[in-house]
Amino acid sequence: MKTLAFLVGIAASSACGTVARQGTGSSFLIVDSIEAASGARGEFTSTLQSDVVTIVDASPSLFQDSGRVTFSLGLRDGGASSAVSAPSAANAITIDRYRVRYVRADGRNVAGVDVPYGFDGAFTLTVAERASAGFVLVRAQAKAEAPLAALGGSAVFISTIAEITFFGHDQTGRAVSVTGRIDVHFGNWADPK
Amino acid sequence: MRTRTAIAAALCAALGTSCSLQEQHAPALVGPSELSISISVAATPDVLPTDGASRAVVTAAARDAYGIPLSNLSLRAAILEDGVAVDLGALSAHSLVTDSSGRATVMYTAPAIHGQQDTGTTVDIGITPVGTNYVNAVVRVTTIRLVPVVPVR
Repeated sequence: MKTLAFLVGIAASSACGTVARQGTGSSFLIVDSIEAASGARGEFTSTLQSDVVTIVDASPSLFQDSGRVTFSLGLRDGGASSAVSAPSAANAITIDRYRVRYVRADGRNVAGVDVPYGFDGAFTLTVAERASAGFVLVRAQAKAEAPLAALGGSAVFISTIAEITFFGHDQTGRAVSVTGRIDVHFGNWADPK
Repeated sequence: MRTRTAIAAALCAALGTSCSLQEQHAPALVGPSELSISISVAATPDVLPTDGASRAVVTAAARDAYGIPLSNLSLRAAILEDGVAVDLGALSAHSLVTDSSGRATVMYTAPAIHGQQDTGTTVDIGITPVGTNYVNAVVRVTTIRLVPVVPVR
């Protein structure tokens, strides 16, 4: 009967035991939200209309577009229901790098041809409970080269999903990463008045 | 034997109940990321001297809403300046049909204009899919820069 119990336990745990979390630290990050703002408008929304060229005082101008992410801290071991664990200073996670990659639903993802080049960026933010930070989502140089530059004089739009992966570590040095996504629709959108 | 049968039954029961909690997956991405007929137009090279002989290969690549090359698509090619058809150089053809790889090519020959100032002249090669209602047509262009053979200072 011991053998039976052991085998049943193995079978059940192997089938259901995967807890998908990033990294090996005792804490992890939850992306509460990612918002973005067109550089030409400045209002943050949950999807982005990225204007590839904006007329300002009769001059065509380029703006980079910003993103804003809000994180919460989670603990792997939340404690008992009667004694819920609280994060210590060592559990806090410092984000210090991010990577943006654009993908298309139609599967055409050649950077510089079908989608803008992805890039690495940096900011530093320590999340002890909940925290927000701004970052660059679409760089100005992306609007000055293919495939975005050609959209300035046409009625064609390119719809992408931006995958943003944030990299950091907890205060004991263990690496943490988390990914969020947001729609980015590139085109020559109507300019604000 | 009874013990083995019991073990096997228990294992099956355990796997069966645990697997009812299946991991969920988002479906694969689908749908057009541009217009449902995507046409990329490129000119090689994109700078030509106005010597009446230099040529650029203009290639149109058509794909459907799923990114698959679109063959046998009829296209109309035109030389445009600020969206208006102009007589500035020559095209080897105006009616094109995409091949099995979704591509169609046309040759553009630069006009012969000698001794002029370099005024930053550009010319657009417009490619328009031929359909059933022109209201739905969207012209895709590639731009070629025309430079004097010998710039006058």
